[in-house]
Amino acid sequence: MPADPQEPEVDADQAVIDRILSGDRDAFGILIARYSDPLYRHAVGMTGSPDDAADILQNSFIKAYQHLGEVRGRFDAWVFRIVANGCKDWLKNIRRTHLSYEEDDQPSGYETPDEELARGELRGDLDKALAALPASLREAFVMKHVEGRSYEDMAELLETTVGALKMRVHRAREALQKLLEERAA
Amino acid sequence: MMHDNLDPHVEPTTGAQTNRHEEPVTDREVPVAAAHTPAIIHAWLDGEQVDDRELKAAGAYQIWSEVQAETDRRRRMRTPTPISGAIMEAIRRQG
Repeated sequence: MPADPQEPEVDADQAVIDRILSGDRDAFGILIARYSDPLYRHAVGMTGSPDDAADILQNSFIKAYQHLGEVRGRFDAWVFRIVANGCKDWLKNIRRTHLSYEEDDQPSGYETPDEELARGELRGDLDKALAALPASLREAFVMKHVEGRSYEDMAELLETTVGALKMRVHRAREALQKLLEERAA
Repeated sequence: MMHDNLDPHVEPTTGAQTNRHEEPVTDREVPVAAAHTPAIIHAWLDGEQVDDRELKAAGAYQIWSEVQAETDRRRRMRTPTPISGAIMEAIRRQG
């Protein structure tokens, strides 16, 4: 039976989860396809490293699969929290001076070689500036500007208020601007 | 009452990860220096309608238009295909 286009996403995800829990393991690929891109962007934004982001994403989805029966409510919010916590654990373990972009051999996920080239100098400066931000500001900036989420969506995922997040994003911008201006000087 | 294990060498369990009310990482770090970003730049970056001439005359417009272009590119990043395959492979191995 074709899916009802009006069916809320949470119900659509739950139907896939029910299939997986009934033994259709391959259906988990549907959830990966549905949610991996924004989660990968989050992990790259938080770690600055496509390699580490790939590891976090992989471990997070495997944990999600192992604990799928515990999902209550939105699967995307639940798996986001697993990835976000993976990033926070990574940040606790790493000293921010060790960004590993240069050492990465993972494909970056950019669409075309031209886009790779176009990143240029700003990319490096932005990465360094992002890495210098407190984690909460980096997280807010990445969710707003790299993932393109609304403040309302961010508030739901991070379980805080829109006002608090607006303040965090504004502070992140002001700190980034300061760092970028210093680099340009 | 649950307490997070803050030992970085201890892998938190998924149950704890998914059930704990994870505080968004708080600003425990040292305060960061900040520039003055004009209100019109914040409004523009938040997707609000702003006067184009006023925007382009605002301080830091050039920096933010470049950052916007870069973050727009990053927003088109896709998960490298091998990652999805590796996840499914690991799940199948679990039996």
